[in-house]
Amino acid sequence: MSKPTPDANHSPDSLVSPDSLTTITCTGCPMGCLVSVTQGPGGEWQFSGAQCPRGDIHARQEITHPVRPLTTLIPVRGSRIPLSVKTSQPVPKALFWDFVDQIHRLELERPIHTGDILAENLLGTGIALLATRTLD
Amino acid sequence: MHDVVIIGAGVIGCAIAREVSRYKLRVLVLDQASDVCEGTSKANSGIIHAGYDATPGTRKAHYNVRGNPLVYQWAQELSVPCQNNTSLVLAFSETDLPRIDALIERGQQNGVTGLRKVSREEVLDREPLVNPAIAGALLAETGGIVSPYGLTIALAEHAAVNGVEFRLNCQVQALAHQTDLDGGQTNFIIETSQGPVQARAIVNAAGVFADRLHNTLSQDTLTITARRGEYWMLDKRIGAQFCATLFQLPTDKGKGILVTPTVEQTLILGPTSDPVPDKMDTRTTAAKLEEILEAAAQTWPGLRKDSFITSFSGLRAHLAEGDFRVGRVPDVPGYYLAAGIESPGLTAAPAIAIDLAELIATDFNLALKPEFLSPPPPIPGFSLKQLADPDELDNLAAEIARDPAMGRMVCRCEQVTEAQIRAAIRRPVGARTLDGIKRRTRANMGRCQGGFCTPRILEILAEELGCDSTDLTKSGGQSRILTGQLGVEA
Amino acid sequence: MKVMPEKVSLVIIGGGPAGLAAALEAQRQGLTDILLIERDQQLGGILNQCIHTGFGLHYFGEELSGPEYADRFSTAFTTAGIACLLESHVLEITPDRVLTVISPLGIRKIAAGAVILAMGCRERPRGALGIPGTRCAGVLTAGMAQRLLNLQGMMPGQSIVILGSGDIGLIMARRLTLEGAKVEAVVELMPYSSGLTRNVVQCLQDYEIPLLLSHTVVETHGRERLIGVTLAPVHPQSRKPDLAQTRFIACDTLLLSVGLIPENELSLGAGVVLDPATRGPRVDQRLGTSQPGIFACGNVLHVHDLVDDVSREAEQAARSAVAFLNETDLPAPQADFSTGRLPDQHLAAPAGWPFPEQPSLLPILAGPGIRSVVPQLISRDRIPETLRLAFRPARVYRSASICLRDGQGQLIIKSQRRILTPGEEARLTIPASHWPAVTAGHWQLSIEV
Repeated sequence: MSKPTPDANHSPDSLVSPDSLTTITCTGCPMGCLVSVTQGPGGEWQFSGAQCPRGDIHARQEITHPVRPLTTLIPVRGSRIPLSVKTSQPVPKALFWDFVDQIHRLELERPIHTGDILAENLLGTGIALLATRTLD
Repeated sequence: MHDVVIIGAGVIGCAIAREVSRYKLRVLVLDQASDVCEGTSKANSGIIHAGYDATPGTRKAHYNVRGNPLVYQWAQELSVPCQNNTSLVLAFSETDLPRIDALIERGQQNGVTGLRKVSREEVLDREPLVNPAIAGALLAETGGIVSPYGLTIALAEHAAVNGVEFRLNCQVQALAHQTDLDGGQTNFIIETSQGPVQARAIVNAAGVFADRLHNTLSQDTLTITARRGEYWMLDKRIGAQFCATLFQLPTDKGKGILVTPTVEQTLILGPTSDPVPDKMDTRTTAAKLEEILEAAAQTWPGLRKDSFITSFSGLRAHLAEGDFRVGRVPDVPGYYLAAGIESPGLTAAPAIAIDLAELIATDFNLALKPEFLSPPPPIPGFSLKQLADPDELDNLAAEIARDPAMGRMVCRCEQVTEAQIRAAIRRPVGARTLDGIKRRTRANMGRCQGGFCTPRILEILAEELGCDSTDLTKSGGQSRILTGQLGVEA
Repeated sequence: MKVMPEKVSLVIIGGGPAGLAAALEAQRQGLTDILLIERDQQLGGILNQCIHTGFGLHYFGEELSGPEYADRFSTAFTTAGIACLLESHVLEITPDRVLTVISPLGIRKIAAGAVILAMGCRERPRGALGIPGTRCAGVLTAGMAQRLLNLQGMMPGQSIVILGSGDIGLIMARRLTLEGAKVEAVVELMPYSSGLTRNVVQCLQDYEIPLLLSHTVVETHGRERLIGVTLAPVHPQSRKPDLAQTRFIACDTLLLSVGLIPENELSLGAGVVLDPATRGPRVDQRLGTSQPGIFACGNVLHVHDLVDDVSREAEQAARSAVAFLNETDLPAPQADFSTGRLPDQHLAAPAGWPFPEQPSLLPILAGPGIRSVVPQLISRDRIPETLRLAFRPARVYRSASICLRDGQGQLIIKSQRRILTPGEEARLTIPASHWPAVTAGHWQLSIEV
């Protein structure tokens, strides 16, 4: 996973200031405001371009501590159906692939029930892995 | 050593196989595809032509007219869906009406019965959706529709029941004939992708590829051009609103586009006809698909784009001379040819097969088998119409009690059960691919085009064939459906 | 083996989120004689294969994955002890509500007091688009790929192009990337994505998957398995591809996420009148169809964006069905639901389009800017406390008003929106206070800029 890249999917009429460090698409609603992120003289983050306050909140989260929900599958020995899993909370975006690798390395056996904790403390973050399906 | 090797498992090859299986012979059918009926025979209009179209005196005319009643008869014997829905050739202007008379006259010369000119009113009475601007039409009462793949597969199954061996995924690479020093008898050596095969007689029914094989054996060379015909297919809801096959009177602009219900009640529009250099090139093209819509709208002005299920195309084997070639090949004894079998080839198939089988029997002085086995019963199924009858309903309940899989619906659009899919795999010359299942059961052929049932069909196929799902193909070769399995290294 | 007809008060067809919620609500309303019929081996429907999160925020106030959302309902359903037939397929519903059901256990005829249709929808297949080219392996719908991957652990491909930027397509782009495939591009015919912004960002941008707007696939290549697709930009208005500007993308798989079609073959057999715009039944505010005693909810009625809305809608259908069962002494309203039906499926109603007057039904027309609206009719004899209209805009509007007007063009209610897009079904609530004295004619919903 890498930084969002502005490209064709951004509406052409959105304004992006030329000296912005990056632009972040607000996911709060279908407007998809492009929020320009710059740094003020004191190093503080500045946001512009959003049409409502949610844009700034979202952009701040994205620039300081971006997280992503993570769901994936783990094949389970002896089960035709793979186990679907999710993390107990969204994971830091920078560590996303590390989480995926760690999760895919798990070896599981039935029975497993929805809500079972499959791993307690993934990558030392305190984030757990939960089963989202029951495989009896 | 085989007695007869038939190259090509299309409708012609399978019909010949079925006819020669009446004799005491070891018969082998070879095809490069993964299933019977993978070429021209799977992708055509499925029309039982009356026979007014072909030029009098040609083999096309002869075999068409002889074949017409035979297709109905064979379809009934083999439980293949078929319907005598009649054909109408529409004239769109008063000035075209004399050409209807000319068609009737030509048909009568060919020996076709049941041809007559019908008024605009009668056409609209029969087919209310037809363009009210028509001037009149030719009605061909013997015209009909048949499932082209249904017929081909049923013939293959019947042949197999009577001892014919089918070797699929088997491409013929070279052909040679040699004469024994002592007996003077000719043997053929066929090099294939699965090793050499020897035969006393061979039949070339290789469709668009027949020329390539033929020219390695005979001095009297052939040139076959592949002509591609593209089609649209529409939902059953629409097909049910038509009865007859609707042709357009050919004009200087072209042969016209037909609009016809199929035996499964879908509607097809097409075909175009364009020579293609690559004899496997069955793609569809935007330009031709558009052309079909424009032309078909002349027959059916209410045509709308919202009920399309799919588009497809098939190749026709066109001989430069414009007629079929059927029979012995004078410079190669023991070699028989059925080449250039384009429209009306499906209708002509029974007559062609009967003639060729008789030639072979005469040449080799063959005796009929004392016992010729009946075709296997069709895959058990049911229709909603049937179930309106309480007795039929009770029968189905009894069948489900015997085999619960008969009540487990896999394809919801075409209402195909697990039992039917398993039966399609277990039958003689059974399905090995997703397309094989489709043509034998209609699962995958309906309005969702396999969106729901494919995953389940793959599971059943893998189970029945004892293979991994990842080995399964759409139609053989490299047409794998899945590329891997989670947790399993590729 | 005699097939004897059985009687059931309420039959619910479909055990996905709509059917489960309807069954539970019907029981809460005091009905005991309920039968749910599900064609799969398990309850939950398509949710079982939607392993991503994003479900339940509105209904449960927490973010669940599809299987978890399904599990909440199916557990409640099982605990409630409501009767259910699994692996059972309804072959037919007659207009007088007799069902023919086939399953491995046999065949049944069931006479239902009321029926709730909750069969969901199917994906538009390739053929419906008429994409030219070869018909090789490797072309499949996004939902089928989702089932293969998430329920069977099978990879449908390794290098993938996705046509259509609806949410299923976007979600599958991420799923397949996570399982090791390379998604080469998502191609969208329209100049905007029809998926949620969140999905565009988190499923595409995060993985640097290009989203090619105003493009389409004009040809598939490969004799046996797909080897690539040809793309072309489309004309901004006509949407016709510009074949002078094509480009080839090598890929072994083309996933189609090009729309969902409510699955109404059974409904048609029962004589239910469909709405050409939603392709689901035309319903009144009680979610009753043109056939008395047959109700519809969930994606069989209209395609929803959020399962939470499906659950709520299903509960409404259940309350209406129970009310219908409780008042069967009353004469069923004999109304013609084709009232106010538009002359052409995909066109907005021309102003003042004539339709037969019916005293009992008030049609709500999809006016300019509106692709579809549900409910399409209001039964005047049961005017609700508040009325909620769900509608889909015909295109993207920024800073526009949703206006509901009566037959004389008088404004009933107006609601300002910052953005309206076809990708998100919008809602308009009409409180009882806004109901005018029952008007004649029709109402029309439109978007005014």
